[in-house]
Order: sequence, then structure tokens, then C-alpha cells
Amino acid sequence: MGFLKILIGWKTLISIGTACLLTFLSYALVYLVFSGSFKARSEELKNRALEVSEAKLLFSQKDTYQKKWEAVKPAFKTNSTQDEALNQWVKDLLSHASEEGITFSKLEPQAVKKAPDGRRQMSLYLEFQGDIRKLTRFIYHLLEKDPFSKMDSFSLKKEDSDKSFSYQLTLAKAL
Amino acid sequence: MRKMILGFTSEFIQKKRLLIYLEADELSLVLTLKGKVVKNGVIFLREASRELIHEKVAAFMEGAKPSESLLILPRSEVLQKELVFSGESVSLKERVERKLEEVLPYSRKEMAYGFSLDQDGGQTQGLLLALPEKRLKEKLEFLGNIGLKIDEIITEDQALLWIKDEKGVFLLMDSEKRRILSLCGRKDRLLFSRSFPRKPEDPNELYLEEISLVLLERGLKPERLFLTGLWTDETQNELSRHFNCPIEKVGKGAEIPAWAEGALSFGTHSYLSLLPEAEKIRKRNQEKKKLLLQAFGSFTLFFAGLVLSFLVHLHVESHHIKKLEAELIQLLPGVKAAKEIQASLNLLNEAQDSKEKLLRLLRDLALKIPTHVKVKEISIGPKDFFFKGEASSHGFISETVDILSQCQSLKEVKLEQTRLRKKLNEEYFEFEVTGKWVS
Repeated sequence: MGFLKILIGWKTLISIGTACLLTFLSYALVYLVFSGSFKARSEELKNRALEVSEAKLLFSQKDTYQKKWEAVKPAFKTNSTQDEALNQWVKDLLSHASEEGITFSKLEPQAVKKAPDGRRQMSLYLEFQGDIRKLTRFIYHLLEKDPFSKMDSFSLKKEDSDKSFSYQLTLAKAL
Repeated sequence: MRKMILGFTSEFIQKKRLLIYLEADELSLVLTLKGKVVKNGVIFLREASRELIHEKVAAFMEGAKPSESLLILPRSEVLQKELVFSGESVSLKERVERKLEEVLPYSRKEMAYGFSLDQDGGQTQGLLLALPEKRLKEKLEFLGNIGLKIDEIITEDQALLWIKDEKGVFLLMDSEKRRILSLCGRKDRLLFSRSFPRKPEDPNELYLEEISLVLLERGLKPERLFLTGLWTDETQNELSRHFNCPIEKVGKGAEIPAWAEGALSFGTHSYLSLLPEAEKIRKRNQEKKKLLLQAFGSFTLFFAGLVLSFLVHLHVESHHIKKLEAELIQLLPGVKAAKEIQASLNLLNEAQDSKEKLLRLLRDLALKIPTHVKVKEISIGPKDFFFKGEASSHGFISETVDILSQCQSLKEVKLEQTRLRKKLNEEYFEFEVTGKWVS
């Protein structure tokens, strides 16, 4: 400090000190005014970086997803209309039922709904009777041949007078 | 702006200073840079025209432009008076003014003067340095005519005082070919000084009695004696004997004048300025303006730097964001396709899972539920689970509830109700269990 005083004089030191103080105050003021936008920009940068890293991760897994999708793609008929899809679905179920000796006492298409993910979804209400073996074979059939059908609701009943179970199912399928 | 920045930087980097010592027939010049002597020389004035002197000064300066020129007046040209005020310091200003009128040979307006005052106990002591303003202006005019513009004026005794940083009372004697100067100081403060001319008939006269008399008058006893300039061993011994205190020779002898060596520290000590009053006011205003400009300049520079750093930071961030956006756009088609496939696969997994879970539940019930329990009803909704059954004993009911609780796809399993029924004279329990279906 003494050396500085000799080199440039105490008056100059005071003027530089005042300038530093003023600069600091102005800086604080500018920062106070614009800190919101600075933070918003930093936040935006952070979000963008996150989006890019997620996108890169997804992109790196694309081939794996593609392979999996190719394996199940035939079961997912996207080109058909809603009626065609429903008719085909009913036909397939009836065909399997006749093979397995299942008689649907009810087979009622339900109104098309919107699933939580935004896709449209068709549903079928089914009622049939039979032992537990018939039910499990039916579900295994759905697992193998109709992988996109979802078990929305299931009910099994047996009255004292009945020899077999009565099943009520609602199946849903994305269009 | 350029001038301001140059002035500002020269203050830091160059700090060139010209020291001028003007006598009747000699002009001594010393050029200093960063507190060191760069060059010194003497120009003889006797019988030399102003033009010639001007030329010699220009030749000495060699185009150098000092940031400050300091005129050092010989002690013999300046009137020095001790100021002593005893009692209260109230109305000191008026008393000082009266005293000045008393001691100055002319009116205050006709004198260039400076004085210092120090409070010491109940007494205020000080020193007055003065010379007629007319004479000073003549000197300044002469110097102006030979190309030397003066920024500050001090006396040589003040410059000599700064040679040694001594705390106690000390005596400094400077010997030159024409005069002997003795000064007494204490803690950076000049107490008195006297200049004695060399007598042609007795050049070795040291004026010791006169000096001792002044010391005696002031009640001062020097603790050390410093010698500058030209001294022989003989005179040093004589001084030692006379003052009976340690002697130390300081300065660089004939190489650099002692006043110049002391004046190298100008600016780091307080001093009495002998500038004419109007010049002092002008200088004060100029200094204020300079300081304001420096403060403003520094502020502008710092602030511009900060704003620039802000802008650079923002630019870098914007550039980074744009780069990321470009990268995202490039990845978008592939990512979109991957997302669609992923959503379809999720749909497939969800559908298969709903069936597999039902199968697992049926398998668990078939394998684990006691054979004495008859299943009457099982209902599974999107979130709820319901089980109704019959059992011959309550133990089977508890066992069934336990088994259902352990199923992975069920939670919050609880027995809702149990009823006792009778069928063909046989009693049995009908019970209902509810729970949450984990989808």
C-alpha cells in the first residue's frame, strides 16, 4: 500500500477507490435489475442441455427399439379403419372361441374412448362360461396372438347352481 | 478522452518530474523518473541571453515532457518566521491573520506565503515561509520565458528535511560552495532553518555559534546530526566536538545536489507551498477536476469492462443455447421415430402386463388358497379388487386374506365382512375381501 501511495499518489488512489466503489454499486444495481433474466437464461440453457442429453440417449436406443418393434409389428394394424379393425378383432376372437369350444353369451363392442396417452381405444365386452382351464387358455391365446389387447376389467362368478364359472371381461385395444 | 487516458496512464507509468533550483546566476535542473534521477545539469545565467538559456533548457530536456515541474527556492530568498500561539485555540484563525500582518514585511496580498500549525499541549506552534509575490512572479515569468512552466514551489530546506526519516530532534547541515544551510527538524516537521553564505575571507567558517544560539533560543537539543554535501574530515570532527551527538553523512555527495535528493520524495510528505494565492486556487481546482476525471475515467473503464463481461457471458450462453437447439433439430427426426416406437412398445408392454398379472393371480389362488375355500366371485377393475368366497372355518378366511395380501399385484387387502350362513343344516362362513389392483 505504501509503495502504491508513493508510485501513484494518495489522491489518485482515492479516486480509483471511489471509482471501484461506484462500479461495484452500479454492478450490483445492474445485477439486481437483470438477475431475473440471467437466471431465466441459465435455466433455459440447463433445460436445453437436459433435452439434448435425453434425446441423445433415446437416439442411441433407437435401433434396439426398432428391433423389438419389428418383432411385434404384424400384430399392430395401423392401416385399417376403426370398423375394419374392430371387425377383424371380433373375427379373430370368435374363430379362437369356436376352436376352443367357448361360447360367448355376450360380445358387445363399446364406445371408442380416448386413452390417458391420447390414443383412441376400442373396447369389447365379453361374457362366457367355462372352467378355469378355458379361461387361462383364452388369456394365453390373447398373450400370443393378440398382444395389443389389454385386460381392462375382469370378473369371475360362480353360483351354487352353476357347474362352471361365469366370466365377464372387458378388452381394450389402441387404434 | 484520449488525453484523459494518456494523462491517467502517464501518472501510473511515467511520473516524470523536473526539479528546478534557481539562483541569481545559476539554474540547476534535475529530471527524475519514478523517484530516480535520470539527468541533472547546471545552466549559467550570467551574461546569457534568454534565447540562449531557452536553447540550453531545450537541449537539456531533449523533448522530455515532465508531468510536473517543481521549483525549489534557495533558503536565503525566503523569509522564515516561527509562529507561537498560547492559550485556547478559539478564534485562532483571527489571531493567525493578525500575526501574519504583523510579521510579513508587506501586506498579505503582496506576499506569497505558506504556513503550518501544530497543536502541542496548550500551545499552537508553526512555521511561516514567505517571499514577496512580485519577486516570485518575476522568477516565474523568467522561467516561463525559457520554457519552464512551474506546477509547485517549495523551499530547499523542506526538500532537505525529507532526506532522512528521523523521529527525534535532528540537525541537518548542507554544505555547498557558496553557502552552509542548517536545519532542525523533528518527525517530518521543519522547526527552523538558517542559510549562511561562505565568507571569501574565511571559507571554512561553520557558523556554529549562530546555530547553537538558535537552538538555545528554541530550547532544542539535537539527538543526531546529518551532513550532506561537501565536508572534510576536519570539519566533521569539529562538528562532532561542538554538538556532542552522533554524526551521519547522508546523500550522494557532489553527484546529485542534496536538495534534489530530498525532493525525490516530494508528494509523499506534507509541505508548505509558496505558489501565489491565485495559482494555489487554480491548482486546487485543477486537481479537483483531474481527480473527478480520473474517478469518472476509472468508473467508465471498470463499468465498460463489467458490461462487456456481461455481454460476453450472455453471448456465450446464447451461442450455447443455439448450438444445443441446432443439435436437437438434427436429432429430432430420429428421436421422434424412437419416441413413437417407444410409446407403441410401452402400450404393448402395458397390454401384455395386464394379462400376465391376471394369470399370475389365478395361478396363486389355484395353488395357495385352501381347498376348503370356495371361490364365489373375483372382480378386477382398473384399480379395485373384490373377492367373495365361502369357508367352513374362520381360519381358512384368515389364511385366504394372508395369501391375497402376499400377491404382488394387490395392495391394501382387507377383509370387509364375514357372515355366518347355513346350507343343508351345515353352517359356513361367507366372506368378502377388497383391495387395490396395481396396474
